[in-house]
Amino acid sequence: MEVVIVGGGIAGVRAAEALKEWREDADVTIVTREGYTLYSRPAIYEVLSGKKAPEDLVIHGPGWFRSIGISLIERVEVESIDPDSKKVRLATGEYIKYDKLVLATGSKPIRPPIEGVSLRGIHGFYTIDDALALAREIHRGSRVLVVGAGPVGLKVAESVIDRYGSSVEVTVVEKLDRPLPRFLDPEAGRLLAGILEEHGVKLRLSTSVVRFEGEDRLEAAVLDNGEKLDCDVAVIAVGVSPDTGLAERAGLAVSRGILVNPRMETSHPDIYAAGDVAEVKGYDPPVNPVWPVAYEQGSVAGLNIAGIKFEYRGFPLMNAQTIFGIPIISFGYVYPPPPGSSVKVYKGRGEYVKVVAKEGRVLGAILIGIEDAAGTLFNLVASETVVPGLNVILESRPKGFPEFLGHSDLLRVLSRRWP
Amino acid sequence: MKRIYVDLARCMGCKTCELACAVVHSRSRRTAAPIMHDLYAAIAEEPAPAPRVRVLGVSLEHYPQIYMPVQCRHCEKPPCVAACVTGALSRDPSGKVELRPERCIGCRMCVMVCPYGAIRVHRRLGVAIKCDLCPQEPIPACVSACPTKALIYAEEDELLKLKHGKVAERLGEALTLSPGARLVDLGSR
Repeated sequence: MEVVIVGGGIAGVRAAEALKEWREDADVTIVTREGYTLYSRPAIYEVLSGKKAPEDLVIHGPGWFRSIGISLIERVEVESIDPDSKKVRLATGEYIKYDKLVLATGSKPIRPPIEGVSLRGIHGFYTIDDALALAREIHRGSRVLVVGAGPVGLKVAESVIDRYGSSVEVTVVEKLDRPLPRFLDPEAGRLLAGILEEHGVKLRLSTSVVRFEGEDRLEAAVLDNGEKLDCDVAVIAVGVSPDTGLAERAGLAVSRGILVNPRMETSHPDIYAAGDVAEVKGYDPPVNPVWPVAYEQGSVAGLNIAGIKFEYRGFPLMNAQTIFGIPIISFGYVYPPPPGSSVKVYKGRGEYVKVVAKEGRVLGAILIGIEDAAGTLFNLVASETVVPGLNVILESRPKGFPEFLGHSDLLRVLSRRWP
Repeated sequence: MKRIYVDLARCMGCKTCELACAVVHSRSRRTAAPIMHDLYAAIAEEPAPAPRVRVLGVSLEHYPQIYMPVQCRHCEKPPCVAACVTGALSRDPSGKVELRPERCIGCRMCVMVCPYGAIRVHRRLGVAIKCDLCPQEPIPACVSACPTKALIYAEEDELLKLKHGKVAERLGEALTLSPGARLVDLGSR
């Protein structure tokens, strides 16, 4: 069986690995456009902060792929797919035949159509090469503008300050009224904004860049409120969208991502999609570009190709990161709370926990400055567990709450009437 | 593979396991010395050594107080390994979930997905810490330190035997305690 996987990120690599575990005889080839084998994309900011070299981010080097018998074609784009003759055409002009194909092409960073966006000094931040290019341009005294206060933008801001301290000027511009708007409610947003400002990040919220100015290099950015920010370097981090070009040209069903069923099968027989590029019909969120989801979907694709019927179980919207040493964790439905749900907020010094619940089920939570209960709450959300007496537990907040919630044994004990 | 199991009925929440765990993971730990002999040196360390096991306690009205020591369960399909964005967490061929701290960036993805709350990020070091089953010790320190033998280090089938033994023992107790009860020989089948 010849299997071709397009994309060398975690979804593609897991598909290959899971398949090889069950079908050692399968002939697996991964085609990747990047020059590094599987690396930690969420950690590329460590190259910017100078804490790690690019090769330190590599999770599996070429030797690992050889050892489990996976062929690698690096730094090559796949140009097109021909689903009828079951062939992919590489940019080198070469054709590869496949019996099964996995599209794990990931995301592409969104490049908003702002005037002057192609000036020198304006960067994206998605690959190791992006991080290296950006790191070369930032030095002591740089004025850095970050467009977008999402998970990527905030880590860029933090890394630059980590490395150059107060000699640099870092401003983050966010269209919505708070940082991490997809993951936080306004109150948690204010708390995080305070943490960022305390560490020297300047914030411009509820505004956006309308124009970049400069001769041939970036010199300033103009905001929609008329403010002009002088800057030497700008980073565009306004989010990602599924890289569906290849699939669209091949005639596969595509909505926001490549449409797949829970077995990761696309509209075409023998073609699978997994990871950031996949859109799972009937799941919420249908496109969920985060590492654990890509890992799981890649595994599911690999298992199904191996002939093992296996379904993706779904993950809530989720994000965990540490910003200036403070844990910022969010998952499920947090804001606005779904109709009919109750919201419980616990606040301590620098701590914020919000739990959204409905009919005995935890629907989502935000945790800032505290991590203890994150895992148990996350698993209650992901497994859709009904907790007997959840509201009473949330109201009374007994000592030990909520670390205990996730332990099924204990829940059984607690839900039993005690004499 | 041997794992650590908990007999909930025996745990009294004394946290001796936490102490022993912190000591064996301290820089002062001398292999082969009795664990508590390194206690004072460990306490003086900066940052203080952190335990990988945590005793949780919950008290609710009308319910008895419950304590439970929690450490990494070394899951068969570990969610933390799937969530680890840097490859710092992996599952070795024996089934042990291993952490390479030098790869960890402290992002807390693993913390978010662990159903047991058994992995956390050390505030000062900025990297994850979790139970490593004490590779330097003959048996995990928490198990050897537990004064009530609430912690059991065993293979899965050994545990089953132990459990059956316990059930039989408690059944025996119940029979002797009830007035007029007599032991019945069920014979060997």
